[in-house]
Amino acid sequence: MVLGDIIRVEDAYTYLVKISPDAQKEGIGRLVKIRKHDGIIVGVIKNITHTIREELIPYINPDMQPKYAPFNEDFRNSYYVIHGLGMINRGSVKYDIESPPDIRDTLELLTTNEVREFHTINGKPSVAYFHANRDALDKKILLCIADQVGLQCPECGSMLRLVRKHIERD
Amino acid sequence: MLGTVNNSDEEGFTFISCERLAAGMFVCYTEEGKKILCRVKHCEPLNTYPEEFLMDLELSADDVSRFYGLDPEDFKYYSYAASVIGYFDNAMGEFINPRTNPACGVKVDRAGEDVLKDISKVQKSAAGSAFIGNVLGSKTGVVMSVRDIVSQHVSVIASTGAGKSYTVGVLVEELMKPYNMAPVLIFDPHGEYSSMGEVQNMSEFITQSYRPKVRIVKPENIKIRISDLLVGDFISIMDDGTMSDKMKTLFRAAYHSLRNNSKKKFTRNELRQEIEALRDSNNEPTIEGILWRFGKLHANIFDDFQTIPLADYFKVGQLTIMDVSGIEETFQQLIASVMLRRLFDAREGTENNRYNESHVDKFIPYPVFVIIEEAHRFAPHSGEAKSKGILKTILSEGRKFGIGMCLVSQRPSKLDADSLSQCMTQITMRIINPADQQQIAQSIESASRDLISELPSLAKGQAIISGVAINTPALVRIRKRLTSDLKGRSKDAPALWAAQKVYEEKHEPVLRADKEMDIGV
Repeated sequence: MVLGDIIRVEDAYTYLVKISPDAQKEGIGRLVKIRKHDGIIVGVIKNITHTIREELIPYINPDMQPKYAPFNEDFRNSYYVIHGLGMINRGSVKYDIESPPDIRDTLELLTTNEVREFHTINGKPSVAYFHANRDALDKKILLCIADQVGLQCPECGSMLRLVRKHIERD
Repeated sequence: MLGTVNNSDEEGFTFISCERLAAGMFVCYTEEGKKILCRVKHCEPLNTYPEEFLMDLELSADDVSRFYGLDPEDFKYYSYAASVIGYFDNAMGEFINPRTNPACGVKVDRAGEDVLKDISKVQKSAAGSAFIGNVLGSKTGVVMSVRDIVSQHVSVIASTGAGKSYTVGVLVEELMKPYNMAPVLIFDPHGEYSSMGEVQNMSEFITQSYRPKVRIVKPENIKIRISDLLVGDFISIMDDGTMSDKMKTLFRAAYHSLRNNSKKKFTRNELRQEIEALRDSNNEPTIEGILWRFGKLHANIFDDFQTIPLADYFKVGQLTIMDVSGIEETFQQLIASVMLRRLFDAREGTENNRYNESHVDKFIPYPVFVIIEEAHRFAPHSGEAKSKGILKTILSEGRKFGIGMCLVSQRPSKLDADSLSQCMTQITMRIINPADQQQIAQSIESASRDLISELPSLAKGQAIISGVAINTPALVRIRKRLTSDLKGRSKDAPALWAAQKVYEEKHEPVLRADKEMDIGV
């Protein structure tokens, strides 16, 4: 299911996605993907923002905005901030982004099989991008990813437990 | 190459290496064509695993690190702190500290044979050499200078079971070798050096013109000649705490009267007569009190004529072992005191030409070496011992007259600090007691204080050798002794008990009924 379209690429690892109005809303920390012609870019929802079109702001009584805004979706926009984690290219997993997505590329949820595939390196479970992204991603996001990995790769539960402890105490 | 220098300060420098290096190990770097010897002080890991990765005993920290995205190889690097010793100057015959640290980025290497050989002052098997062992972790031998050991004394300090007597045995073996032929006397309170007699028949010690002799003097053959005792010696023997000042005064008067009558040698009877001569109506009880105590001088150890024959004990190429085991401690101190006093007098008199060949038992025209086991009994830190005074005199003045001393003790904190500090070469083995470590730290040269922290972790047979007999302090593995050391070894009590039980069961006497024994009367 398509969650939205990429409307801006800040840099190789940061993309802004406009959420489709009829798409189900996902939370921060969810693993997502952006399809490319030869594979997928795997990312995580780093942030969610809502804005009102600037030109309409003067016409809405500030006291009335909370009451009326939810009913007027024409001027309200929501965006996902996506942080790129790596790529799956023809079955090969890399924790690096060689080329970012393009404008209008679509954002989807990472499937359970893809979650497992992305977290397996040389046949062994891995979250090796955690260390490189410990400054870029909030600890809550990393913990959320760890939960998703734990569900799909139960064999690395013990190691994930230690990694979780390390992230929580860091 | 071992590693690379990354920092330096007033304490020394640090270098990074992925090899595991022991504290005290020698490394070197090259500067202006010279190899600069350095010593590793301590090490710490360059990076540490996150603590949480160590919390599961079933998982390897490397695996968890790799899982998380850390490179396990990062944790295999160590930062070593080292200090500069210097480059060896052949003209000066010592290590010269360049007074600078290596620059950042300089490569550090293991110190090889070409550098380590300069730790020794003398070449192995050369005249005046004592090969004591190898630099720890290396095959390079450490050879001490016998000249420096004998002229400036040596101490051997170690806890029980660390190999102290074994090391003394190695040192004595070297002194008895054909390239030394030293006259050595061991003052042996425990009788544990009798196996040194094996040197007489070992090929390593025998040449066409030389064969060492070993003389073991048993306790029953050790005698103190009465006239060798000083007045203080007499009083300490006789006084059980109840001798009054009047008795002491009268006794001193009798003693000095005998001495002043040119009676260099006198017998107990003559001294008794001198005491009797002082009797008058006013001091009868006092004289009786002295004479009653005088009876202690009839102990077996005392003799009117027999004495410690110095000239027989101190011969070139002879090891004399004075086995004083079984003799009570105060008498051991007295024997040591008398022997050392006479020895000092003989050497001083010979050097100053007061004595010649005609002075039997006083003419000793060569340096001698005396080893005192359990030295803390003879020169205690606190309390008195008859031998303390003469021991301190020899340690401070013996160099001039060629008397070398080796103090052996397992309790340096109980050994007189002045005496210990006079031993300019130190062989220090495992010491666990903090008070003893403190004492060693105060008496050892400053360059080797870094090694003091290694003392508790030294294994049996490992020693820190420091002082004038080598060019720089070193951690040494003592070489294998050529003679056996059975007597010095710890007893295997459970094995011996089991053997005794078997013996008793085998030789259990057969019990017979009384009637069988009745042969009628």
